[in-house]
This record gives sequence, C-alpha cells and structure tokens, in this order.
Amino acid sequence: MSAIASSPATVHYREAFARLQPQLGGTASLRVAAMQRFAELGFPGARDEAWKYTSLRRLESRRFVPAAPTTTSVDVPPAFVAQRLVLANGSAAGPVPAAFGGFTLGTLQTAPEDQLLRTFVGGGTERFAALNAALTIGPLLLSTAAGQRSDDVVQLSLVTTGTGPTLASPRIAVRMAPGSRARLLLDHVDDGAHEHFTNAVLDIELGAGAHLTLYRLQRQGERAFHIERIESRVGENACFVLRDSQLGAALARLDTHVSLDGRAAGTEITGVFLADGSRHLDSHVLVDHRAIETTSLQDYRGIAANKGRGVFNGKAIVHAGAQKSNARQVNRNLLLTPGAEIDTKPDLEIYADDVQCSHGTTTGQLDPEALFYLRSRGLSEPEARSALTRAFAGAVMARVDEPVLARHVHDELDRRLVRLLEGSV
Amino acid sequence: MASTPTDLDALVAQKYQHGFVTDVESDTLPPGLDEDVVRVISRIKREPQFMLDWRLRALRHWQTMANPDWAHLRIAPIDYQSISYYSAPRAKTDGPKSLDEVDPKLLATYEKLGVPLHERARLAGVAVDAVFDSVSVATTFKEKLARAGVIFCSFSDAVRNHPDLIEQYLGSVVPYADNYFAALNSAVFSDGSFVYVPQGVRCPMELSTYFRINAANTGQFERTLIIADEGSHVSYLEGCTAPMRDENQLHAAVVELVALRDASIKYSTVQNWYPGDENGVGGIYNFVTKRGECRGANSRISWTQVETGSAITWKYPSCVLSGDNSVGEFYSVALANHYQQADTGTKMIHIGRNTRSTIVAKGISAGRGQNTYRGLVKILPSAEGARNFTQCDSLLMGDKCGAHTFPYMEIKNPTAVVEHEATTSKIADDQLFYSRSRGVSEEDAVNMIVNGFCKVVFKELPMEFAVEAQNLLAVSLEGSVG
Repeated sequence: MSAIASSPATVHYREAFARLQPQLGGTASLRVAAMQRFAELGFPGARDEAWKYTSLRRLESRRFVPAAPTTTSVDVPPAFVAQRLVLANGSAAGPVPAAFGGFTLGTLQTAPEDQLLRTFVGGGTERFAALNAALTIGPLLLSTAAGQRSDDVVQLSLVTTGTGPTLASPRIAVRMAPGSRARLLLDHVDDGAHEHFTNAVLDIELGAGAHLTLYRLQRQGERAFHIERIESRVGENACFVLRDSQLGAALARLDTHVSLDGRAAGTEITGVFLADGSRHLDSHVLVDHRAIETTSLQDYRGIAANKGRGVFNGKAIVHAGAQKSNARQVNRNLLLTPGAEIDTKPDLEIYADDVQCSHGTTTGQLDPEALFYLRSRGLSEPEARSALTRAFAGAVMARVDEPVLARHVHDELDRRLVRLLEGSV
Repeated sequence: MASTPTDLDALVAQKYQHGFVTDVESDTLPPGLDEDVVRVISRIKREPQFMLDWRLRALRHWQTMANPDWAHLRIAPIDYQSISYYSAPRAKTDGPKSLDEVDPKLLATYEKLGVPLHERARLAGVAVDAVFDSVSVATTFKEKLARAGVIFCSFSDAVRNHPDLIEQYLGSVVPYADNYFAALNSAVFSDGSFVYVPQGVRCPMELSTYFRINAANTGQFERTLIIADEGSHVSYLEGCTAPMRDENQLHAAVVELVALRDASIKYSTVQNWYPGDENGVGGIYNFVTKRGECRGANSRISWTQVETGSAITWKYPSCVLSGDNSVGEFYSVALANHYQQADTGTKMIHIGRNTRSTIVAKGISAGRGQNTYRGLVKILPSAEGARNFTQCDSLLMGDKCGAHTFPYMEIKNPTAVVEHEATTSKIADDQLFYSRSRGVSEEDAVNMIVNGFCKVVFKELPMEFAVEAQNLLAVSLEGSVG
C-alpha cells in the first residue's frame, strides 16, 4: 500500500506531529518513518477484519491534541503497592531515577533508541503502535539483570490528563534478562475532565528462563478512548503472564500479542471485562507458537449489560515445526440485560500435527436454577444476581495474586453490578 | 510407526478412481462472459422475460464486484473470460422421453461411476435427476412423485412449467447480489434441480441428483431450489464425481431451501470431485453458496455434507432461522489431503424466538492439505430463548498439513445460550499401538479411528450415502499416516 490515506484525522495528526517534533527527542527519521506508517495505514475502515466489531468512527471524528512534555503534577488514585511510579501522558513527572523497584530505568537520553521506539508489523493496531512511536514523549525502558528475582510488585500509574481533549502515547519497554523474575502492575487512569485518547504500547522481551507477571487495570473515565498494544517475545523456558482487568473507558481496545520464540516458552493470559453503560470493550489476543513444547492459556471472562458491548478475539497459531505445543483458549461471557451484545471469535490456526489445541466459548445468562436456589435461601434478586456474576468473574480473578489490586477489582465489579442489577430488576 | 515406503508410494500414487472423459458431442459456447452470453443462455433455455431480466441484473452486479479474498485459501487468479459458460449434450430430437432414449454413452458414464441409473433407481427407490454437464438428461420416478403432488424436475423445466413458483422463490434466500459467486451463478446458471413438496406431503422417496462436470473448460453453474410447503417433509441427496483433468475447473453452485411452517428439509451431500493430483495439479475449484430459510414456525433444515473432493472448497451451507421454534442443523466432514484446501462451515442466523441450531464439524487434514472451519452464529435481539451448540474437531495427519478454526459468534439477546468447543489433535500413538497389538493393520486402525471420529456426522446420512462416505474416506486417506 503506497498511497497515503489522507483522511482529515490523519492530516490532523501529521500536522500536530510536525508542530510537536522539536520537543519529542530521539532520532527524527525514526519518528518521521513511524508517522509515515500511521498515515499510510490510516484509521481502519468498516471492512477491516481486525476491526469488524469495533468502529472507530467516533474516535476518528475527534481532534485530540498530542500531549507535550509537562512538569505539572497530576492527581492519581492511591497506590496499590509500596513502589509506584507515576507517568503523566507517558512521561515521568520528575526526573527519572536510574533504578526503581529492582528495575534499571532507561530513557531516550540513556537507553538505546531502537529499544524504545520500536514499531511492530501486522495486527489491527499496527497503525496505532506507529502513531505511538511517532508521538510518545517519555518512553521508558525497564530492565532486569540476569538472575535477578523479585517478588515485589512495581506499579506504574499511567495518567492521561490535559486542559482539552488530549492524546497520550505512553510507551513502556520491558527487557527481562535470562533467569530474572519480576511483577509489574500497570494502572491506566485519566483526569476525567475531558474526552481523552490514550494510545499505549508495551514492548516486552523475556530472555531464557525469565518470568514476568503483568497486572493490568484499565479504569479510565466514562468518556475515554483507549487503545493499547502489548507486544511480548518470550524466550526459551521463559513465561509471560498477563492478568487483565478491563473496566473503564467508553471505548477500549487491547491487542495482546505473544510470540513464544524459544523452546518450552509459555504464556498465560487471563482477563475480565465489564461492558456496562454504553461501554465498548474489545480484547484481542494472539499467541504465536514458534518453537516446540510451547504452551499457552487464554481465559477471558466478559460481562455485558445495558448498551454495553464486549468483543473477544483470541487466536493461537501453531507454526510448522512447533510440535508438542499446547494451546488452550477459554472465553465465557454473560449477557445481563437486553440491549447488550457479545461478539466472540476464538480462532485456531494449526500447522503441526503433534499438538493439543482446544478452545471453548460460551455466552449466556445466569443459570436460573442457581438464581432460584439463592433466592430460596433468602437473597434478594439483585443480591443473588450479583453474587453469581461475581462468582463468574471470580474464576479468573482468583488468579490475580496481588491482593490489594484483586480487592479493588472485586469491589469495583461489585459496586457496578449492584447498581446495574438494582436498576434493572 | 510408518508404513514401508513402497506401500506409501503405491497408496499415495493411487489415481482418482472416477477420472475419465466421456466422448459425447457437446454444444458449447465460446469462452467469455458478457450480456450476450447471458441472453444466449436464456434463449436456449426458452426462458420467460423475468428470468432474463434477473440474470442481467445479476451479471451487471457481478461486474461491479471483486473476487473475495477473505477465505483461508491460496487460489491462483481465475480468468473468468477464458471459461465457457454453457455446454449441453447435443440434442438429437427434443430430448429423451425415457431411459431408452438416453445416449448410451451417457448411461455408460453412470455405469462407470457406479450409478446404474435404472437399476439403482428401482432397487434403492431413489428418483435420480441426473445432470450431465449442464442439462438434465433423464428423470425417473416422476409418476410416483406426481401422484404425491411432488414436483421434482430440472430447473429449466420448472422455469417453463412453474414460472409462478420460480418467480416467487428464486433468489429469495440467496439474492443475486449475495456474494461474488452467487452473482456469477445467477447470471449464467444453466440448469439444476427444482423440488416443490406441497402442503402436508411427506415425499415418498429420497430425492437424489448427480452432478457431473464433463466437457473440457466448462464451468458448471448449477442452481437448486427446494420448497417445502407447510407441514411437508423432503430428504434430498446430492453426490458428485468429476472426470480427471489437468486444468482447474470452476464450479459455482447455488442451493436455496425454503421451509414453510412445520416443514422439514434434509439436504445431504457427498462431494468427491477431482481433487487434483498428489502434486496439487488440477482439481475442481468449488465455490458454493448454500442457504436455507426456516421461514415458518416449527420448521427445520438439516445440512449434512461429506467433502472429500475438489482442489478448493469454499462452501458454507447456512440456515436463516426466521420462524419461531425453528431448527437448523449442520453436520460436516471435510477432508483435505495432498494439496487440497477447504474453507467450509456454516452460518446460523437466529431471528425467531426459541430457535435452535446445532453445528458439528469434523475436519481431517493430511499431506499438505489445509482445512478450515469458518462459522457464524448470530443471535439477533428478537431471538428470545435461542440456543446454539457448536463442536468442531480437527484431526491432523502429518506435519505438513494445517487445521484452522474461525468461529464467529455475535450475540445480541441476553436469553440466548451459545456454546462452542473445538479440539485439534492427531491420531494418538497409543490408539494405533493398541490396535496393532490386537492384530489390526495400521491402515485399518487409521480407518477405524477416522470413522469413529466422523461417526456422529455419518449417522446423519441416509444409509447408502453413509456407506459411500466411509469408503470415500478410506480411499482418500490411505497412506496418509506414517
């Protein structure tokens, strides 16, 4: 595709990029090439398979102003854990420390640029990863030393804020050295003052035997647009774990791509989403099994209510030669009220024969017999419904082994479910 | 666990059993497609004006469309202008009045294919509307069917004798603008079958048609329309083989089913067209649009297919469940061996209340075959209490083949229950080892396991088809394991 799509939106971002470029830092040619790529791809059209169930017409019609570096402090919700770093619109509020919670931190000034401003080919969010590479203002590199093991959770609070509709492009690169182990908590919030657009990129690499658990909480405001790409490459015997809670924003899309490159590499991707109100939450997971004995588990639980819409597209590709691989996908969804919608598509592409692959998905309502039982034990209808719905999400939430975060997500689900169910009964 | 190389080579080298060309003079239009070709086809068929108008609308729409590329298939570009769009066996007078008048060479063709028309028809109690290239040459059991009031005839006859039914139902399930191949078919279809089962009638026999591609360079564009009026029942069987040929041949058929209130239609297919040789040369390109609409309450449409042939299969027999309490079913076995590619599945569109659908798809991949299940289950807001169960399993034989699953589920009603499960695996070594230790040869063990894998689909097939299907699978798979 050589023709440049010149929709008013892409023109807007190109012009904004041109104005902002002197403040951005990094090699201009990298930034320009990324912007060029975004302009080439443009916004996805209605016939774009990767965006079949998610229309970006509303997003495209807005003119967000890309965030410039700022030093003003921002309000953030309390931290879940002791070690927390706050990034406003992607850049640290103050000077970036050289080390934090067991990670060595690098910035455009101190770390190799090709690690920080990488673009990714393919997938429905290639365009947005490119836009992020062009516009990100404080990309951060977190790296571990070989064999360094930490069980402490390090929290990164990513705040999108601005005096008008703002485009924030936070970008985090994580490099796990061989044999190292770490836990990272990503908390997406915004100031709620305006309709903001957060376009985030996580670029993760795990060396041999490394282990990374990433907890992700997306709890942005009712008007927020959120698009995020998590790109992860997993080496031999290494394991990448993602615990996702997709609760906020008006429209959110998360593309998680895990490439299992080394022998016996593994990944576990679990998540819960609550699409109530008129929220549109879209989760895409793609796991590439590229080596033998690789294993993957995807388990997403989705709840949709009111005018909410939940989308799940999981995919496992077992490439030729990736024998003895094991890929499992589970997706369960609850539709709580009329008007809500669930679209799910668990794909498998298998090019090797000695493999075990399965997927299962269900969509339905709460079990009337279970409801009846709880009612017969004296629970009110909303209480019974809320308890069953929490239990439904609980199967995945039980894997979130950061207790303060888990409690927060539980409480949030509870609060919204009770409000929802009391309103509907 | 491999068979000896000699065995394997011999088995893999096995030629397509039904490959031959009958030397019959054909009336064939020169290659190319434009409005004149459509007019000529319509004139040869002596069609009423509404048919010609419909065909021309379809052609004009087709000319605005692009060849679809979303399927998981690698297809060499097709030159639609190099295909001849009409071929008919030379008419001696005005067509045969009975089997005796049928060209003996044609009858011999059926003999070779194991379809001794009169014998088989009488013994099996099956009426066969045999389609040779594009024109019906013989129809049996018309009388018995006529006594029941069932209309079973070639599409051309139906257009001439029952234009009102054709005008009412043609394109009502698969509109000409539905997709690229449906539009092409609508413009140039030459013949096919038409079935009308009147109110309350249970069709006294299973209806069967053999489609066959014969004359070189002739695309085959069949069109089938089955209407089951209120409270009626019909079971329709379709089976196909094609002569061996090196050039890829295009087939774009359309099948429309309409089930009115309380009616049920069972549509079974065994498809074993020439799949190309072991190097992927030749073979049929099979692009089929099949769709049934459960228009009335309590109606039922059941698709069963065994797809072992064709170089490329692009086929999604679907059900539109409009009537309340209507039921849609799809049972499929698809096999892709050598360089075959299959992208097949179904769509279940739930519109009415308490509509139910079941999908069971079994894919077998061997050699370098690529087998894809692609399905859509759509529950519209009106489909209160809808229910779907989908199971798609893949069996892989060899490390060069592929098995893929793309199930789409769109649920817009909170009372719906939709379940999907899929597995992919190979024939387990311990299963083979056990069979071998009990004295069962490896080939037999594989056949047994594959038949077990497909059993749930085979049991949906009418008896004689089930036998043929098992044989076909065995022949198609021999030598694939090792």
